[in-house]
Amino acid sequence: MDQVKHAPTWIVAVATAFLGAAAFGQDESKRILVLHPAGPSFDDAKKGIQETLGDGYDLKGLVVTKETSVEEVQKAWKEAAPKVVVAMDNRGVALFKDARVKMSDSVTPGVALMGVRIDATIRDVQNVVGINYEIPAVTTIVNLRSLLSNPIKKIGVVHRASMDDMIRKNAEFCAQENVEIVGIRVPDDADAKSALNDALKELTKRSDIDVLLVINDNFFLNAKLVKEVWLPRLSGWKHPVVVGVESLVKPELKFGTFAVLPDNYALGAQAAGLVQEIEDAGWKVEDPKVDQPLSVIKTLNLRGMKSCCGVQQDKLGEVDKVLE
Amino acid sequence: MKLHRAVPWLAAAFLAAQASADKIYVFFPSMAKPNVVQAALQAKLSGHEVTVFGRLADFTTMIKQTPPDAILAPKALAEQFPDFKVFLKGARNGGALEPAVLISTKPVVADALATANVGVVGVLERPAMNGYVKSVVGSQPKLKIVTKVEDLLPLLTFGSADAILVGEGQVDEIKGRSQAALQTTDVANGKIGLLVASAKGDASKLEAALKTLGTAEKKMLGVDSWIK
Repeated sequence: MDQVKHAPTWIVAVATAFLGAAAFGQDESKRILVLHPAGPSFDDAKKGIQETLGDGYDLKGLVVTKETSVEEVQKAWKEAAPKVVVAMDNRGVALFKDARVKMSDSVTPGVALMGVRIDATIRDVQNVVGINYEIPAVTTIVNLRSLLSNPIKKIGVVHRASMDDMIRKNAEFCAQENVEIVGIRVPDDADAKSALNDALKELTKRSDIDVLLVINDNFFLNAKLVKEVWLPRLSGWKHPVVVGVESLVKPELKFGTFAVLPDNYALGAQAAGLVQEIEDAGWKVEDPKVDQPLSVIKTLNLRGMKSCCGVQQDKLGEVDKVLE
Repeated sequence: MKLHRAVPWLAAAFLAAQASADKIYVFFPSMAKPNVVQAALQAKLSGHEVTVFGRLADFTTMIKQTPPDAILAPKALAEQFPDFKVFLKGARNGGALEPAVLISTKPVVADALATANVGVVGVLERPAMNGYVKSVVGSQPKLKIVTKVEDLLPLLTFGSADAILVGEGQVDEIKGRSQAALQTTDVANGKIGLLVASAKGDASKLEAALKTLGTAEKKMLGVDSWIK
């Protein structure tokens, strides 16, 4: 102890400088700026990134709100000098894009996630990769099919015309699993209530539709239309109704029978994989792409499902939440 | 020491022994959810406190923060904790190792694996997974690491991976979920270590209890029997 206490000042100084440089070097080489809104979903995703990458990476978070300015992002960006910027939510992605333009920085790569239509949002942005937030229909159907006794061949979907590309892509994925999407396309300027009513009438009178998939789109999915169209139209329809919002799968609501939501922690882990690909390529995006989300949280309205369809009881252990 | 004075000490010692002797941490990725596995194991391992983790990071963090007395984990992961000595090995078809299999939508050429994207469930921290997979398949593919077994199939559906790497015991379960034309390719000489049970001290009680697990519980742990 005495030896340490009386160590020459220069040794302490050199050691301090060395340790400081090492720490600084580590931070400099592996620093990641994360632009994210506040909230548990984003915290989970950030945790997934940090825990997957491990201690060698230093995540600097900047909570973004509607009021966050591009200048604030620029300041955080300059301070962090990150190797990668991870932008969450459409607000985070927009700020990332704006800050980049203002800083004339197209070198720092970006990873975009947890926003609406990430694929469209970063379509023309260079040196960026992303992960869509919308759960592909095939993921939902494969998970649902493993629970049901009956086969699923056709799924009905009501969608706006502006979602054509998304529906087409989903149809391709579903075809791999021998499932066909039967889409009812509604013009974006249509009256939502009557268009939805007509579309549901058409889908529910068909005998070959095995499942109805409800897309998370405020145009069709809001409290008023749930009460005035969805619930009356689906009353007595003896097939699963799949939703992407957990509150809509509550048994007492008598609406959704199965809900599939993104697993935000796993989404963060998936984003960490993209960060590592960027690192492996020398901190640049070698393969611009938008991946599909891989991992989901499944909630089953068992009461509702039993009232319409046969459920394989031994498969219930594969569901995250079972509501009765 | 009179008896009435000794009772609190004995009780405290008993409680301390209980608290430290019975804690078992489990990490084994499977189709079944951790809460379901935990309930099933807890029902069979009465007298032990079983915690099943769904996330690798939670498992490794808790081992450091609140060390258990025993762990049940894939062999490769258990080896990361040398304080815990293996007292029982999970087995399938009589062996503690099972053949490694690649599942894909297109034929897999073994020689081209080094340039392929291979999906795998993370049972080790990310950097260690590279060495682990290399030891199994004999080359170093680019890894697409997922957190759950059920996330492997989407890697193939979305074309994010050329193949997924699993143990032979998981092939039917994964293929059974899909109607795609999936192909399987055995990895020449590739073996994957099954789950092992490791403990810091005497594990004779836990060993006896594990041997009473039924087919359903053992299936959740990816084994059909135990060997020493």
